[in-house]
Amino acid sequence: MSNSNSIDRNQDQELSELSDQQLVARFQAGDKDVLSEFLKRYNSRIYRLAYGILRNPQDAEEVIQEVFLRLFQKLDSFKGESSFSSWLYRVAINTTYMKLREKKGADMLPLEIVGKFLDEQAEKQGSADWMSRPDDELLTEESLKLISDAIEQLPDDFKTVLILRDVDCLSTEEVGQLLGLSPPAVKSRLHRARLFLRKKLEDFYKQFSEGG
Amino acid sequence: MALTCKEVLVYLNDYIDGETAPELKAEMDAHFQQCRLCRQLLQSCRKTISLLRKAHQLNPDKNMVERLAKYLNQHLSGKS
Repeated sequence: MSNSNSIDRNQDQELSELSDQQLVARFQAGDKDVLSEFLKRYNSRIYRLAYGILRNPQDAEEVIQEVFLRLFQKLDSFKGESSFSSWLYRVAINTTYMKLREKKGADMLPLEIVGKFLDEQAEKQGSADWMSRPDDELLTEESLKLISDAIEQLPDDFKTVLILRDVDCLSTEEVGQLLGLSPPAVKSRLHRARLFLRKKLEDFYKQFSEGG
Repeated sequence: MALTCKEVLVYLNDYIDGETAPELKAEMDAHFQQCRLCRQLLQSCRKTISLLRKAHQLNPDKNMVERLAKYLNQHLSGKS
C-alpha cells in the first residue's frame, strides 16, 4: 500500500515537472494519466475566468466541465500551432461566451453608456482615504458583491479583457490574440473597465467616510 | 511642455502596467508629484486592480473538483 502511494507520488512529481507540450506529447502517445495533471494545472485558472465573466458559481462549474471534456476529446488532434495554454483559454472563452448567450437578458450597460459615464466621471475625485486602507479591510461581503455587480454591468468583451489582464495577468498581446483584438483595442477596453470599477468602488467607500 | 491632467489620463494605464517609454514616464512622474488629484486617481486605480485581483483569488472547492473528475470519467469512459 505504502509502496503504491509512493509510486503515485513519484509519478505526480514527475508529471508536474513536464511542460504542457511534453504532457500533450505523452497524451498523444497514449498515456492518459497526464489528464489529471492538466486538471491540476488549469482548473483554478479556467474556473476564475469563467466565474469572472459569468458571476455565478454554478454556471462556472458547467463551463469548466465542458471545457475539460472538450479538451480531452480534442487533445489527440492538437497540433501545437499555438501554445497549449492559448488554445485552452480560447476554448474556455468560447464556452463561457456560449453560456453567456444562453443567459442573455441580464442588465448590461451598452458600450456608449459606459463610455459616457467614464468620460464624465474619470476626472472627478472623491475621498482619498479608502485607497490607503489595507485590502483585507476593504474586502467585505458587501464590497465583493459591489465588485461582482459592477463587472456584470460591463459589456462582455470589457469584462473578459479585465479578467484576463488583471486577474489572470495575461499580457496585452496575449489577450489581443485570444480575443482577436488589436493591442490598442485591448488597452482601451481595459482602461474603461478599470475606471468604471474604480468609480463604483470609490462611490461605495465614500458613503462610509461621509457617513462617519 | 508639461503634461495636462487629460493627457495623464490617456496614458494612465500604460503607466500602471509599466508600459510607458522612459521619457513619458519621467514626465508623468513629475506630474504626479505636483498634482494631488492625478496622484489620487493613480492610487485609486492601483487599489482597484489589487482589490479586483484579491476578490478573484478563488479556487473551485474540493467537492467541485471531485464532481469534475467524476463527470469527465463518465463522459470519457467510452473513449479508449
